[in-house]
Amino acid sequence: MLDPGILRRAFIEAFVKLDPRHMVRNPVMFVVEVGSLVTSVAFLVKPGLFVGSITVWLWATVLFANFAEAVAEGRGKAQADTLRRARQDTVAHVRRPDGTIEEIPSTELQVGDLCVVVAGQIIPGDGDIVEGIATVDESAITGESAPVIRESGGDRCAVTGGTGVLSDRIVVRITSEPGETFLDRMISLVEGASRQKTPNEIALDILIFGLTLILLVAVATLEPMAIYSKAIQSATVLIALFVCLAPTTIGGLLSAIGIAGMDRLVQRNVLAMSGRAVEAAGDCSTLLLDKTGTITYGNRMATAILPVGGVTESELAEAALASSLADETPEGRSIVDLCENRYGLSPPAIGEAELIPFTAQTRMSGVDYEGHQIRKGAADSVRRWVEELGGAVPSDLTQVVAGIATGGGTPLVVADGTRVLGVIHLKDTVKAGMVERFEQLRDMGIRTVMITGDNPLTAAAIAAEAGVDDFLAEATPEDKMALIRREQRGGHMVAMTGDGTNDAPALAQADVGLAMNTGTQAAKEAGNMVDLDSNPTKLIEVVEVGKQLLITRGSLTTFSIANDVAKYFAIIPAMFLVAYPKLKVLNVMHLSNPHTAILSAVTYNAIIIPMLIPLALRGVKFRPQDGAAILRRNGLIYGIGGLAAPFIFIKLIDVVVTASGMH
Amino acid sequence: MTGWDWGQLAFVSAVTVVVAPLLSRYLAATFRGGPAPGDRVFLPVERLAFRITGIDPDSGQTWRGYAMAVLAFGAISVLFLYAVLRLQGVLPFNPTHAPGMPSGLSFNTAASFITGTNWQAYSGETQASYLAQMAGLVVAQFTAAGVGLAVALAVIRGISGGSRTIGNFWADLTRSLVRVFVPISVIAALVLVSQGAVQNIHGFRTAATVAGGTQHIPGGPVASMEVIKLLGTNGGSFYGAGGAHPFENPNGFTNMFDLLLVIVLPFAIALMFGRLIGRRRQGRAIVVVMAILFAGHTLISMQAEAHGNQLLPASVSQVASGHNLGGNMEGKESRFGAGGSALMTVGTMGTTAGATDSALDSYTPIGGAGAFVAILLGEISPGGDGGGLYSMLVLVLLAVFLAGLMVGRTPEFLGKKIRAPQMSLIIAYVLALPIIILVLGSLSLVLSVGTKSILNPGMHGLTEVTYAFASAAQNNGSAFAGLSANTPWYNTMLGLTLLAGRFVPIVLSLAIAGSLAGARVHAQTRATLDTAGPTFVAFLLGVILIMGGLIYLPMLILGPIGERIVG
Repeated sequence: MLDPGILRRAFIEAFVKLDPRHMVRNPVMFVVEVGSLVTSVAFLVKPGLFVGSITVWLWATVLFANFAEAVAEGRGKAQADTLRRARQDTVAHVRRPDGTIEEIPSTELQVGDLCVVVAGQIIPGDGDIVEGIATVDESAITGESAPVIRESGGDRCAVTGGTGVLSDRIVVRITSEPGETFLDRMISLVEGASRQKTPNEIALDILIFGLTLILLVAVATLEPMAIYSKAIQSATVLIALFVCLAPTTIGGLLSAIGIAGMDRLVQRNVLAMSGRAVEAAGDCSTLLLDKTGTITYGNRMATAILPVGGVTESELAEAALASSLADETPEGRSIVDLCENRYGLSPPAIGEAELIPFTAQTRMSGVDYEGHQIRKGAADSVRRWVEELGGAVPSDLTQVVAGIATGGGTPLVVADGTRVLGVIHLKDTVKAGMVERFEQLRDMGIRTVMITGDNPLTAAAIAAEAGVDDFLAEATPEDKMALIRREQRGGHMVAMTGDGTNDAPALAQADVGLAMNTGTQAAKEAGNMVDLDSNPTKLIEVVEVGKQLLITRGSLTTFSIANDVAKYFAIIPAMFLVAYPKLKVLNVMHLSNPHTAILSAVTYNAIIIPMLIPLALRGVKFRPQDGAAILRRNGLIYGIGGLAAPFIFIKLIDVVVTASGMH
Repeated sequence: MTGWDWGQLAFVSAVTVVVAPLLSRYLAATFRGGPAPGDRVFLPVERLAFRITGIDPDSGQTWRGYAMAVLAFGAISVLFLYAVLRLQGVLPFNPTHAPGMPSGLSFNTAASFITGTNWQAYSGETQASYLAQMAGLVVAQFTAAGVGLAVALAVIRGISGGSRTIGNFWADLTRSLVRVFVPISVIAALVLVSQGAVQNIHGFRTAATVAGGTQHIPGGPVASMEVIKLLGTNGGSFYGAGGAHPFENPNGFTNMFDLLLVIVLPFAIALMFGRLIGRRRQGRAIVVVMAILFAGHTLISMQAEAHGNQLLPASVSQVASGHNLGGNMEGKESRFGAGGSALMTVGTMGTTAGATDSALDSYTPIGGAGAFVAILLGEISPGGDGGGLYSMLVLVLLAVFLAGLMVGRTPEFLGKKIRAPQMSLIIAYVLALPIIILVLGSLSLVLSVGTKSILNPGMHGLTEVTYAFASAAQNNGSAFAGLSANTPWYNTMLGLTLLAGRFVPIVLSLAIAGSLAGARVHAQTRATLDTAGPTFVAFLLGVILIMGGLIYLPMLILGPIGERIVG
């Protein structure tokens, strides 16, 4: 997780970041830096082992915090470097309106330029394919080595600059300004350069600032009280007390948590346009998913054949096989598969055959050979065709067809001339593991709504099989918008995935819109996240990352505050022991002497930051549970644990410091 | 603690458990809008008041409008009371011939009563006329309570409501007075009179004593003031001796009755909150937190006082025998005993009443610390009328923010998200009073203008000074005594502190409510943080105690805790 190169660079960065202009952006650590400066001066004026040790650990506190930030940034930078390699300037072959091809550097491309890209070339900029079809290697951005197909028109026309064309020739219309391409945005995103603070982060900053302020006041006003009590304190001790009490643990790790959170998202191949969207994902309570391609494989498969009117199963199977031999659609292939595998048929040798292709008018396809007139198609079409030829329809056909439709399947009726042979049961198969995923979502308090163009009957059957909570059947883009608005009015945050241009308005309206990278440019612009893997169930992981981000911040803040109790018990008795020896009863940890007590607290306060870096980068584990259970768990670990841990560690450090014999 | 002490505590708890829910039902019905109990009697009175003042009770105010109305009303009230006190010598109805108060004292008293603090730098018997007491101070005690309840109602509407407006201050104030404070006061005053509290208008009576001397026995409209002093969580007594005076607080029963008058209404207001937002569990959760804190500081003090004072010389018997009730009886009335006195006094410290029946200066260090901590935690156990609720709600929002993050969602309370604008206001609210207390308290410990007023040196003296600022900032009004606070430095600084202590929290809590008013309400799912369950209650208690400890622990260690340890 941490490679030595990153750590080495982060070590140097930690010192570079001591620049006050950088530090001032993090008020807690800035005040600690000022405190370190003051004790440094105190040490120079009057050197001493105690002042010296305190000063070293105060500087260490600041450096550790800087180191945490630098490590998180370093990991992003490493990714950015990889991406930058893909962004190397390429030559664009721009086709001018008069048809001439002009070579210009990709950095001078304008929106609207048409670029010709042939096999072996790099696509010079983001855009939509307007001509042609090509296999594209997108591994530079997705890390996925298998090439993908991109073609003009439809929902798979978007290409990204920096990816390479492997075959064929395409013409791309450029849709983004140079410097603002997808790749550029991705680089600045993983580098954390354009990192905007999220709403929750700003609110937490205010809390941390407020805590720092009140503790500064509490420590500053302690001096007059100490003077009154004839137990005047040195600046070093007061600064040590303040630094221990100030929320340095969370203050030092906060930016690392944020950077690492976005980083985790990038590792899952999701690009969020803003951290705000990631946080919003954690708040979502309604998830809209397209059925096709998301919940189901999207291609209906033949799962059974049902003969009617006394026809034998094998006769039907033979006819079905014959009718599908020329059918290259996934449905057709699945019928061939079914017949070959289940009925052991081998493709008949058809000599003189006439293939009848599917048309929107006939809604049937088939084959004429050796006197057979095999047709398969929608029930009413085939029925009409048989009746027109003078055939009779068996009485049980209606029942079989209705049975399949009710179960969410699609019936394909097979006929041979005037005889209806039976029905092929086509079924849209629910992807494996979907039921568990929806179960998981329910545990997170998220209701899933399936969106489908199917009729309500089919939709209901698939919804039940997949285990979604609700469905929207025969959905038009307007219906989708209406559903999102209704959910939002009901107080729900809505997340949805989409890829088509007609999804764009809904993606924009949803609180979280996850666009598929394979989708159109319009969809990608409208959403606030893009999934490079184009896996719609990725939303679940986005939700987890969003929640994890907040949980980590909240838990470490609680930990930081709870820690202060033990630090008080270490430092306060030490401060006043000279004036009031009896206060030693408050020295519950039995720390050896005032100097080791204060030094141990300051040391603990510093080293807890690097100790927690792995947790900050990894994030606190999120388990789908109800709110109270999560609070109980994290409250016990980080609240009660935060109370107890420093008592143990400070005592241990005190033992070590005392054993060293220096103090 | 003796069995009798436990019995009194059990009695107070039992009565509160029965009466507060009943009262909350009445309050919720009264303030929900629409027909309310007692309309036949109260409605004509209200309508008359609205007609005379030209108030349209149905016109909603934004938080700014509401806050401006509260501030304007406060300013007018201070001026009016100031004038009455200055002029009481020439005004009628002054059988005790009290002269007009000096300007500094008049201002201090006016500000103190308008803010519900009732820090009394004067002695009631001799320095306030009956007119000033009845038409000035008592009226101020009623309106101070009414303002507190009104603000709480506005905050509830803002936090839970769907409208940008948060009610009408003038209507809320009128309804609070007409339907809550006046009727309950009338009933309770009759109870007190039946127990021997005095209620007359004939000034001093001169009596020949058995020893042959003469004694001036004060009379006065005592019971009526006593009631609103307690019910309104004000704390200002007719007599200088306060609740220790037998004409005010005649016996053990009235002692407990007084405590109940203070605490039942704030508890009932918290329960009313749950009813008004349609989530009674939420109200109960807040009451549980309040009750645990109440039990904590009250029991600590009762134990300490009943156990006796280690600082007293061995010649003082603190063991119960014969007429000696046992425990630390210095500065306490034998009618109440050590435990009973601590119950009444420290029991009211978690409210803005700070009504005492014994001398806090004579308490054991830990007994006094119980009272001090109750004030420092922000008076939320159960707090002042209305003030207890809105102070607690701000702490709830703070805890919700941390707990909300910890469950992985943008923190939300009652479906409304807590974001940066709310957080700034919450932090301002939480910091304002501690900063005032710490800065002014510590300054007074090093400046000679501050230190020369200290009676007892050392740690006890530190407590005297810091307690005074805490009491003023939290509008408690009780004094640790010992401190000669009637100096320009303390009059000015405490006067400013108590004004800030009243109006800064009011304005900030209204601003928080305003920022949430009309905000999008998010649906509750199983992932939502349950802000009414036991886990959150424990978390909230932790936040309150740790935050309070972080801010005040060093001060307490140099004060009462150190005094207990060092001796």
